[in-house]
Amino acid sequence: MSSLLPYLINGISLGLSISLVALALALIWRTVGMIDFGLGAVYLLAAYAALMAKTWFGLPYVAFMAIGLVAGPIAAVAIYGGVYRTFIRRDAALFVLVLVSLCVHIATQHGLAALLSAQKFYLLDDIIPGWEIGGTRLNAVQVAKMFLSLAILAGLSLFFLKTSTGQAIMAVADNKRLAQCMGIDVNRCYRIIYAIAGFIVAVAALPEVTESGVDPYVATTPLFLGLAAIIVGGLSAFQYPVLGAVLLGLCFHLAVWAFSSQWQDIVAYTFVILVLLARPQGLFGGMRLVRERP
Amino acid sequence: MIRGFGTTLLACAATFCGVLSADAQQTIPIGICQSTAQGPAKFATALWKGAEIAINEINKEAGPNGVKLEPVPIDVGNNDPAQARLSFNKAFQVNKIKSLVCWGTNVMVQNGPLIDENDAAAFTMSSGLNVVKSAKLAQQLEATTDLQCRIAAKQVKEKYPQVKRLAVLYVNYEFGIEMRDQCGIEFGKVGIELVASEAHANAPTDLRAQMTKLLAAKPDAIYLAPIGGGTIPLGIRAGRELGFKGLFVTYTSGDTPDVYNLKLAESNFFFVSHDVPAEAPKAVAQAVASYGGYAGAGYDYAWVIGNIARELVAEGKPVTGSAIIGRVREKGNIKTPVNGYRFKSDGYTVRPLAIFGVANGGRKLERPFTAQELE
Repeated sequence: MSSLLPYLINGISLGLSISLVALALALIWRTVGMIDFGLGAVYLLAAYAALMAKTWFGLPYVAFMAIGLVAGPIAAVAIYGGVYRTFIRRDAALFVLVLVSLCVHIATQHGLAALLSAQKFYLLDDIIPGWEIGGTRLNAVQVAKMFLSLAILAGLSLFFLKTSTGQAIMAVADNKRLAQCMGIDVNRCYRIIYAIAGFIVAVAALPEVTESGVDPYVATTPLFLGLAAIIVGGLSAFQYPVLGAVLLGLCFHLAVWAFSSQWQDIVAYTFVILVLLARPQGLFGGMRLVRERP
Repeated sequence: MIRGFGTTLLACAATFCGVLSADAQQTIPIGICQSTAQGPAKFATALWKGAEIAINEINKEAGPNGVKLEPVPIDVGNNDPAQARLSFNKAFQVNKIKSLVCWGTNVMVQNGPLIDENDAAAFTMSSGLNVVKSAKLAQQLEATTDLQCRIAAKQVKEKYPQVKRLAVLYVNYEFGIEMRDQCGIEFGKVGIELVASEAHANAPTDLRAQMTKLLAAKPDAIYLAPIGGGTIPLGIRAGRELGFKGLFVTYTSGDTPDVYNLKLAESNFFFVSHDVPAEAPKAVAQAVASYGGYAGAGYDYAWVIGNIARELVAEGKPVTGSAIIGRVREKGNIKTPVNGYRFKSDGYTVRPLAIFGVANGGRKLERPFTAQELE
């Protein structure tokens, strides 16, 4: 059997990459109270904005990445304002919001395939610079993904603990009606939440598509793994989805080490089922839905 | 007089309807599969562009009353047999197609009986060995998995004698599994041992785990067998980043622009695909340069159908799927302006192929194989 270390390192790297999407999902779930599959659309729009900036305008890497980063929050706030806001105002049931967000994702996916192309396009056509670590090679994009996920986790914690806007958002999350009575603008809070989630998703998407290319289906796997990560990790604190994501990433890579790649999905999703059988509230607890329901 | 006018009017109307009907008979709708899956979308576009060139030529030559072709897109989604079934039914019943070109071992095998029931000639770009057995009216246009692997093995044996150990990275469904098995057999025949194989889902985003496992078996060459072009650059990049300096080999699905544009593919890499010789029409050569080698196959498909349909109409025979396939097999050898084919009565086809490398953002011919050599 081959050395375990490369699989551990690559598994942690994959997990931290998933964790960014998990963090964005967790942020919306904990504050707005919906499972937002529409973040898949945000992921795609950020990736395609970068791709178009590269192919149409011939911009250098840093410039088209910056455009992708800006596109993420804009897309997320636009989807909130254009679609979700009406349903949230009407206190729509959770399953309605989930269905609407899934529709946003699927419509965007197929819209991009129809309007642009279903083909895969690569942002880089050469080896990404990297370093030998523990018997494997981590490229700069993988290292960036790991660093960014930890930095965003720390940033989110600081934002909610130390800023008045962050505390206002937490107040809305805890009790929307009471927060409104206190004079907090709920709609503004939601726009800020979607902007932050959109930014996090763009930060997740852009390194990922630098490695694996852009196509309309590239968001599906991160989205579902992100959802699995928050269910496995639980939601009582933002670091738990990150831990859940790392465990899932390890499952995917260790399955190949122990058996073969055909076992990747079997091992990872059996792990999810076993965790939920043993701890329905998630490994670290806190699957409570914060948003009020009528 | 009024009666005379009425009779004349009826006669004119009948003549007009007759003209319309005759014209309708002269237009032969032909199906061309299109895909929303990232890999097949690339070669679907190339097939369409190539077919369009032949269709425009045929329609121009036909004049106002001659046989004309009309391309009909058939959406097979993400190589989904159920979606393909819906689209095939629409194409048969609404568009009244007489012939189609499609791919996907699962798509073609599962819809084989439907093709026969609707009397449509099915030209398949799938490499699967069993595809032509699923429908009497199916004729292989693509090289089969055993042939793809045999040619690759021959090239490796002759040009890369240091290669003794092979690994295969394949898409985990019937086509990929068949490719893995056939390459194991064909490379084994020339003394190259299959030492490892790993699978991946369709359109994967991460191949590092599979590649790490393959590299642990210390292969000298890795054969990539995904569905389409998009996965090949990902596999090559993952391998090179993890330190693999050996040879990458793939089949016709590597013949797409994203592979041409990959700098990493410019050394220690080749693919087997369709040759477009220098004497081929310039428009076809340009389409191949822009969209990939499948443009040549699209051209050949439409050219064959157009010319067979013209013959059938000239003989006063109906243009049906069984008539097209019957005539193609009866003729056996057909030479288009691009390639020479030998269409066999069992549905298999002997066709020329070639080995290509990648250089300057395009494919570079390394070695052609004529149909006779391959037979």
